[in-house]
Amino acid sequence: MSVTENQEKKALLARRTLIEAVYRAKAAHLGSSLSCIEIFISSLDFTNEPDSLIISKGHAAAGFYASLHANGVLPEEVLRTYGQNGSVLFGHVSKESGYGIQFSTGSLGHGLPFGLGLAVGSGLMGKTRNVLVVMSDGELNEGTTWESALLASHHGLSNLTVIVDRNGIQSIGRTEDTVALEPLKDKWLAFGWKVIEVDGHSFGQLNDALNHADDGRPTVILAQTTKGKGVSFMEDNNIWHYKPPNEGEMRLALAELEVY
Amino acid sequence: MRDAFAKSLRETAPRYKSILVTGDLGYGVFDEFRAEFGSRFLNAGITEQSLTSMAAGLSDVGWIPIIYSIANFPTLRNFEQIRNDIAYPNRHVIVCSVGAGLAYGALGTSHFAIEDIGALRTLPNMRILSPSGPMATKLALEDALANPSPTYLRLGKNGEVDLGTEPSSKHTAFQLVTEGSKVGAVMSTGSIGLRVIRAMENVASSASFYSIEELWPPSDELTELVLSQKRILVVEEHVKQTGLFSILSELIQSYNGRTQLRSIAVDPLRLVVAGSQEYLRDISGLGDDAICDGIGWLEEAD
Repeated sequence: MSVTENQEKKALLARRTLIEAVYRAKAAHLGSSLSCIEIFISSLDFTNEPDSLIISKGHAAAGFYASLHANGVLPEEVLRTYGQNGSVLFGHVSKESGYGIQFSTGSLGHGLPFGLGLAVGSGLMGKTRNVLVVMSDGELNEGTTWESALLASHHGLSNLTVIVDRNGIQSIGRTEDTVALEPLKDKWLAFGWKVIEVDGHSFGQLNDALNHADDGRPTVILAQTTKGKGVSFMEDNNIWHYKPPNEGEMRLALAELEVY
Repeated sequence: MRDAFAKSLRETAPRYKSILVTGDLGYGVFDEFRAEFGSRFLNAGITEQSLTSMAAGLSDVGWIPIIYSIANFPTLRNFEQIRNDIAYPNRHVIVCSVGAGLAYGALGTSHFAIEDIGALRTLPNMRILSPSGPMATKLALEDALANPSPTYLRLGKNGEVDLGTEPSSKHTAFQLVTEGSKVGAVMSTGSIGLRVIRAMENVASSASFYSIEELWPPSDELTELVLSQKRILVVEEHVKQTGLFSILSELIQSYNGRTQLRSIAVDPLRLVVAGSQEYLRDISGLGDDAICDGIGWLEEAD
């Protein structure tokens, strides 16, 4: 099995366990999680220092847990506690969970400046780390994103990579109708970053982008994705930012994912 | 206190992995530190929020970051970053603000630092050190570097003098500045202590005067001291609610419920005209008359 075939297999497993977990927990953010499964799995496969992977898009926690499970890091019995009292799995990515999670998120705009600290600080310590930060596109509204974009560029942090899950939908509307981000590539270029645009559901493209050549600049990977990816009636529909599936919807979704 | 902080930062740098992250403030203050430890001076620009999360990242790779700015910029502007990224995860980051109280008051309400103690002491794991003068600042920084907890270092501005009784080697929770014969005591924190000394001399007070150098969490020594008093006059360059008066009130209510307290604090509603720190203290409730009145109340305790 090739690397990407193995990753496809893990993504299918992650989507299925994600939908079951969100159904059991009656939790939100299913659509946001489905859009970044390939991003999570390729990032987990890429990084050999789990504490250098920052999930700034903390609301995609269930998707990250399912990806950690598919990667053999998070046991199924722990994943099954999601949404229960006493579980170590919070509704947003949290350090308390363990499993290599070093930074708690949930309030948007914290992950990139934290990653910046790791990237600058490790270099000054003489032990440069490759830091990877996964962000949502709505999160780009936050001022700290652009403060940090300036700082990373100023310090020439080629060891810092951001992946933006560009699914085009934020909390209550489309990004372009809310606070328009386009032309997004030009914005990052103007801030001094290297920009790589990929299909965010293509492992081949994500893997290549993650292994990009160092040219002395920080890198942003703009990953074009579909919110709710993998389930026809959830794709590109904002209701799944909030609504957990009922039993019928859960079964329909799983049936689609057998052939996906 | 600012210069004492800068000097102490340089002196302690060989012993601690400190790194100064400034929000583009401290013009000329850190020149000697920069000359000797250049890479450990990071000017992150005017990015109080980002630089606070960044300090959390620096901490995770082994540094002891000291974020530095003035007045409420490194405490309130970035409050959520301190809460989420430093206090809850218990990272060893020092938050240093210069300009406690009304030190930069002439610059307007934007530069008052009179709600900071209250805000930061609601956060888990947070320590608050509030030195009274240059020597106490040096000792407080040493303590903050040695103690691996999130710590807020609340400093005055510059030109303050020591209260006169500072220990020379180790930070203490409080200083006994004037030992009196009565059961009542005055307690203050920060550089307002000099004004307390002046007022006590004016009325020839025989009360004791303690300068509280470590505000939060309340130490056992402070708790014992407070509970042993009949009356305490609290003088602070902070709003009444949530500051030193509140801390002592909470202590008393949790234990004996008997010690009586009176507050001399800043009333922000009176700060509607500009002026020097001394002038603003006078008009906002911290005037000598108010302190002398309070001392009179203490003297009645006998």
